[in-house]
Amino acid sequence: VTLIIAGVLALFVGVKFVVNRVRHRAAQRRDERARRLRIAVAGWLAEEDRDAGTIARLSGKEGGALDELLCSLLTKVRGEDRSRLVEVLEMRGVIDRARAGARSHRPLERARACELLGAAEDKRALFALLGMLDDHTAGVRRAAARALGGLGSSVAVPHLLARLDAERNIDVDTITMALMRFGPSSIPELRAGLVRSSPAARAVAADLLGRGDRLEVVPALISRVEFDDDERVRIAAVQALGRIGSPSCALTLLDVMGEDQSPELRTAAIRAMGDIGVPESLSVLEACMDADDHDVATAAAEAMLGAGAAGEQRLKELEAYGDRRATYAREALTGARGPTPRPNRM
Amino acid sequence: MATVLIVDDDADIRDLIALKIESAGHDVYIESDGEAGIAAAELLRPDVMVVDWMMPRLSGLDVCRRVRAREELARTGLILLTAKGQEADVQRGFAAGADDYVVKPFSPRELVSRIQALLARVARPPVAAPAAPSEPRR
Repeated sequence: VTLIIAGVLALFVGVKFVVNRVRHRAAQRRDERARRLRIAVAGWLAEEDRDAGTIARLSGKEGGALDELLCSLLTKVRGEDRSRLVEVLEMRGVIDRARAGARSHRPLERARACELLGAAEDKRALFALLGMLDDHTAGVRRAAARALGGLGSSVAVPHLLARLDAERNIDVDTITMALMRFGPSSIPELRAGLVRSSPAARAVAADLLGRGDRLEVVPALISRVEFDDDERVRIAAVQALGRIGSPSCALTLLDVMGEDQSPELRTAAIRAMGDIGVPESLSVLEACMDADDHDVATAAAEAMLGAGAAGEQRLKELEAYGDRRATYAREALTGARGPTPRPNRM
Repeated sequence: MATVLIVDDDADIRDLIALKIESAGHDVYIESDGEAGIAAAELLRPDVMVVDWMMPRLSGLDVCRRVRAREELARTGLILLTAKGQEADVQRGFAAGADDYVVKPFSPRELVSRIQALLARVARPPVAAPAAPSEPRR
């Protein structure tokens, strides 16, 4: 019995050793192949007038590894080198396979196809990707939104905004990130979205319009602050105005800093006023430091610093009063001075 | 011909930019983590280092700080190559001692141009400070 057990154990150890060795060899071959291909592709990209033919003709295991490498590089580089990578992927039929993969019954394949089509900025896939925004798998919908961000065609903007409230929706972060990649070409569609879409979409449109430092969108944002019936949209528009920093919206902001507004909207307006830095707003900000809401009073004290030397001077005066405003003034001044240095230990 | 040291844990990027820089006529050395990058820099005294931010063992930001803390590497140009493109990240990069900042996805050709420009700056002798006026201006 002992001999049989010892024999089985020895056999087990032997098989395990052989399997490990085979796996190790296979991994080594894979790494070596990947290294060879990396060097070949990098060498080809380094020589700007070299023909892509040799690389494009690789097949079998080498071909599969090459496709993986090219797809991986596609997301890391831009410019002329990126265009050459797309050209080789086209020659190898990878882009065509991705277009077909977008119709696969397997969600993972559909999602991968979206990622590749987006990375390759394949304009011909636009309508397929728009359709995939309604895919029954959430991961595929997100991948399609990201891919549309890569394509950057403004046609997609209303479709992306509409996904925020659709039955098969896409989360706000994915939509925002995708729309951020569009750049200035999306401004007309976002402006339209400020009026002609759901509250969630209007809030995202306002947020994005505030990221471009474009003065021409200020009137549209002011109109949302003044007339929109959804508070999320008004807050997003106020924050966008603060980011743009145009003093032309100061009167609108002063209007929504009043006590008849919600603390959230007041806080956003006060912060925006602080970002813009309007010295004429000091008396209103000082009055806001008396607000019952802690956030409103804190924001008002901090915003006074945004108004420059006059605001800082007034805060120093208020600090000496010893009332409620003094506490907020002290906190704002301490924050501006940075953390208090710790005493040295003995 | 200049010496360029690339420190990046992504082999695809490392090989791609190494061959690009080599084809521009420079000597290129590569390392795959921050600690090894610092050790190689001390040995090679490169003219320019291209450093990734997110790396194992020692981040690119720490590599920049350590390089800047060493007197013998004072003339080494530092380029941070990173996916972190926020304004605050760029500020942190320059505060750590980077001379230039390249955000991924990047153009390898543009990176080579930036290296050439940095090399030209490093090679240029420093301009002497103007003499202080003997009397304050009125």
